[in-house]
Amino acid sequence: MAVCVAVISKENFPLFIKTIPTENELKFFYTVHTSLDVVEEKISNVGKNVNDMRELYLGLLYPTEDYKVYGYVTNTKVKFVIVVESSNTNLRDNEIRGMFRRLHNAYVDMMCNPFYTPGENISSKPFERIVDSMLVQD
Amino acid sequence: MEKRPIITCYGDQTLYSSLCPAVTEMLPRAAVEWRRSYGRPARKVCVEATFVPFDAEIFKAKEADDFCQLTSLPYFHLYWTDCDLDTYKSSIRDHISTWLSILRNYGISDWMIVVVTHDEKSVKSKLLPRTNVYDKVKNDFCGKYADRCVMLAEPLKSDPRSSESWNNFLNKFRVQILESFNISLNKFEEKLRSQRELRTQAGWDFCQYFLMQEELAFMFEMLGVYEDALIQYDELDALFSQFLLNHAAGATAEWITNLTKPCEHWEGLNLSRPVDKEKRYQIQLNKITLLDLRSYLFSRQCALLFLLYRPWEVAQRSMGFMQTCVQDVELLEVHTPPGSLACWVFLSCMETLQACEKFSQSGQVATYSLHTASLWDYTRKKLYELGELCGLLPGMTPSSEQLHLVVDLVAGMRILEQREGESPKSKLQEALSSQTAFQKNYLELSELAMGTFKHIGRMRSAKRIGQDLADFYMGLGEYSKAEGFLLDALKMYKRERWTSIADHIRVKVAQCQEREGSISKYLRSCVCIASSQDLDDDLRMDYYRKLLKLTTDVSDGPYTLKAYPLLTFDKPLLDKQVCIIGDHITITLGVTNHLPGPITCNMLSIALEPSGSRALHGHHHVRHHSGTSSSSMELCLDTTKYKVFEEYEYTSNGQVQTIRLQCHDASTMDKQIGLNHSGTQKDVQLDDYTISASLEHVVMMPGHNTFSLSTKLDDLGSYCLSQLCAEACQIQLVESLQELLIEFQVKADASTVCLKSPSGQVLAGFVQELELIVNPGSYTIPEGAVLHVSSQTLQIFQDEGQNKLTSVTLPALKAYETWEQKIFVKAALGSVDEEEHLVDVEGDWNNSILCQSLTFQQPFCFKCKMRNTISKRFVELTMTATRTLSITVNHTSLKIQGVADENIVPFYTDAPMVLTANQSATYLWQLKEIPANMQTLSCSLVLGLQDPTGIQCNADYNFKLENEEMRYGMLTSIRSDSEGPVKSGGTCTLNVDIQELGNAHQAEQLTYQIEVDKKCWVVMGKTAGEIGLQNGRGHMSLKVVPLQCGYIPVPSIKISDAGNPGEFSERKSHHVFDASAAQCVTVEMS
Repeated sequence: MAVCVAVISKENFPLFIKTIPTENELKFFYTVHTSLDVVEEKISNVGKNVNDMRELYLGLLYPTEDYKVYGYVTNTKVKFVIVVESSNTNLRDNEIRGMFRRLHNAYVDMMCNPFYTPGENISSKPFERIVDSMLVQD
Repeated sequence: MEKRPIITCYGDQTLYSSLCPAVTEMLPRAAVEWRRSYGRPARKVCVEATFVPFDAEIFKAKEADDFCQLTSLPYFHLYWTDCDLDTYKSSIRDHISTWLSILRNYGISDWMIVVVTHDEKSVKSKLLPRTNVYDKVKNDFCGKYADRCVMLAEPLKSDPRSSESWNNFLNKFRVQILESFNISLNKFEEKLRSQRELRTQAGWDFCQYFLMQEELAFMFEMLGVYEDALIQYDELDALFSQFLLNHAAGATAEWITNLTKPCEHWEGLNLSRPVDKEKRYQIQLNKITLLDLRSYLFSRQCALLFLLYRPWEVAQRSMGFMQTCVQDVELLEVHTPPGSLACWVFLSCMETLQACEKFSQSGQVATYSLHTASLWDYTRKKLYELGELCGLLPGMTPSSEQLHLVVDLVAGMRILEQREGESPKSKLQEALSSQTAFQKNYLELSELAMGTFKHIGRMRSAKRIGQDLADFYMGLGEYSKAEGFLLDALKMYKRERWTSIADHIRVKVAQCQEREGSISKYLRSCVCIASSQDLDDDLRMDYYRKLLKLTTDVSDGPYTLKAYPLLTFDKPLLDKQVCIIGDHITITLGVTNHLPGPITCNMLSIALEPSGSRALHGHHHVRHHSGTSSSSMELCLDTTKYKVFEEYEYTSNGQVQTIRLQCHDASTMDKQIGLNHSGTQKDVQLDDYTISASLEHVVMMPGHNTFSLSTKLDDLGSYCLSQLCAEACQIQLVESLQELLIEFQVKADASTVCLKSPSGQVLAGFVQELELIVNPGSYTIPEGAVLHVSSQTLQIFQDEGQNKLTSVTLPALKAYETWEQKIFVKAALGSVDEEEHLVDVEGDWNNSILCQSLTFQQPFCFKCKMRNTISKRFVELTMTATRTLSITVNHTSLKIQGVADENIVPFYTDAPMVLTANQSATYLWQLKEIPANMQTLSCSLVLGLQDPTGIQCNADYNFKLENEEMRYGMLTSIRSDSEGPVKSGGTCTLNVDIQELGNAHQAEQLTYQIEVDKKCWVVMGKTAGEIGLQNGRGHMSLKVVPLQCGYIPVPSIKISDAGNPGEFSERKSHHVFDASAAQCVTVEMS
């Protein structure tokens, strides 16, 4: 499935980022960070027509030869980014949407924890379990 | 548009060749609505046509190859005639029917007969039908389809009637043509569908199908419906991609294996022509390669997009196209020589970019840049890949293999024709030709990509390229350029708190700085890397060691750095807020060392700043008064101009109720504070450490450490912790503490000396025991310090043995250590009940004079009086005890200065007498022989006293008496005039005799005045007058009448010197001894 899942705060601080394999972590960090350009672009484009009920799913942010980067923005401007391998052709838009929905639910559950301060790095175990279930398992 | 639908003409050749150009021209002038089957949208179409003479051979060709021909076929057939009726009947009729039979043979029903008439009248004048050629033709051939025959009246004239007939003809013609299109298209699509259905069967060939569907696209393109044409290609694209996926998944198709021949050329995309005939020919031959097929397909899509004026979509699609191609090549495991794919991508990208540039308008730059930016980036990456492969990167030397590779790659590009300007191929060839050319091209591309990203606001992407550029410059050895790019990126990552990336960049920055030799910056980077929480432990250890080495190696130090992130500090804790001068103050400091190993500091110190040196902790403050109840004070934090207002609110009685701090531009402050640690080191300056608390040789272990710093302060005042500095050889790590506002006070207590009576009461006259208590306060008293004790009015003794005392030598005393000594004092008796006496104490260690006042209580109250008669003098003294104490008076004696003791004769016997509260004793002395000229007598009463405890002492009481001399003696007597007792109402005589004492008779006259009680006496005659003196004696008598009876006082007479008649003062009267003072006389009833 995915090779990298990231949660990024409203201010673009990384809150959670997990990749598989972990050796290439930095490359994915760069990929996710660069994708924020497109996320911001998409968010600001939506803002122009007010009546537009904003879709949280932003779709494919940008493709590279090896990876596809998908984005999702919650109403509080928390960003989710999922990176999948381009060679993984089984993943259609619907599957990606489903992954984002699960991620959003997990995030909301995590936020409900009164001991979590918004803006802190996410260290919740249940949240991580859900992310793990989305990452590639070989 | 190259191709137009073909329409054949038959009949009168001269006629149609003269008219066809006009028809060709007029046909596309009006658009017709094209209705189509299957619910496809109707479109407005301008019909165009090419006219060719009719030839039955075309149909034969169609028979042979009807598979994928659509555009090259004639769609419609015209028969032209302008004959008259007779000719029609004789020959034309048969001619037409032969033509029709040929058409019918081939199943063609799209035809029309055009009858041109020149004589209009002949047509109209006929009353009966079927009399002209038009009617005849209609009748003979058209049957149900009357539209198949059209009359064109006098086409070469330009009158309204002619143009009307033209319009009629054209409209019918257009509709007919479209109908014919519909028929052909429907047939063709039917065929296409059936072909597609067969796609899973063995032997099905995609290329054939491709050409067939492309024919449809050509058809649409020909008709100007580019959208539909594009749809055809998009469908083909989707179908092809699906095939490839299925193929990779195991559903192999034979035709795909044909595509996967090893790749031999990689000329990239060609967008210069709408149709790449050569590639199309390859498809027809079924010899096309995967890349070429994709390229061809995409080039057709682009061509249509350009026709649709959507060049940005070309840019948008191209990225996906190229990535798909690369993936396809991998997916199908097509053998590609190394670098060939990169070449292909590079060339294709450049081709797209050049094509887009040609087509795009300035208004679309924004939309278009959005997509070209990533294309530029992609091109750049591919060039880099090639450079890496061919050994063209800085620092590489191309091997012969690599040189061969370049030759092969250039050959594979197939540079055939030289296009005008710089073609992608020539550009790539140039770039691969040498290292310098590669460098130039790569940098140019990087700049372009970065610039485009910046233009569309994708700063992160732009900075990412900046990092690649930095790597490149590092390879070139231009470290300062590289550092610039890296720092730029670093700033962004730090701002967005992507610490792992930031730290990674920091490592590169450090490498640059190391090469550049900027020690202070390099040190800073080493610190950051070694303290990073995200980097590898090995790397951190490596930089930790470098750092340690640097601390000792650098020579031109010391370097001052911010302590963060190497060390973080807890808020320093003071052991006391107020410290006594000379005392030690201890600051407890928690330090966290983020290095992977211990660090040894030769000094850890905290600068202490006297608060007075900068107004209120380095901030100016101005006090504003606003209203009556509140005032505010403005302080500027740092020099960065935050205005913070301190507001006070007072209650009605003037007490402070609320203090508020307000900052109006808190938002900017927040930002600044957020960046506090990320700022450059420029603003790090070492404070003044002359007053500081420090600890030497400190070893900080990784993690949390606690240290206590202490110092002794020798100056008074309030101090603020201003800065913290950990000094490790040549490095000073500095952290400002000003914001924490930690303050303490250094105070000094003055030395005190105090005299205290153990009983709480000090009596005058006796030697009193006192305690001298010395408290040095916050000072220390050195050994041998002397305390000088003196008094103006008191006698001070060391002991009861009454040795005089002037100074006390003190032992060494520490602060607040008290020392006591007994001393004895004695005060003379006085007349005031409570008397204050001052004792001056002066310590020679701090030059302060202290006045201690002591209140002495008097044991007795004295009253003294001088009593005189004409010849004798006495001193009377009454002594009353005022305290409840029983004091024994053992003996008393009076001494008068200038008077011999034997001339003072006491009228009592000396015997001890006990006096207690309010008891009094009166003593009387007669004075004999007093020197006459003594105005005042200084008397001293010497008392032998014994207090209740049995302590005896002598006390003096000193007093002064006026020495008064008697000058006149006076005697008054009263006698009744009527002989016998004095009776009330009866006249009496008052006789006054005056005698001047002494020998010298100075005065001759005296004045007198009678003072009577007006109720008792009436004076007959003058109450005041003069008395003459003769030989010192005088006499006068006055008549007085008593008014009352009883024992009443005789009227008193006052005399004075005649020179001063008014002076009857008390003092003067003392000079007169009235021998009959207070004399009374008995008055009887008359």
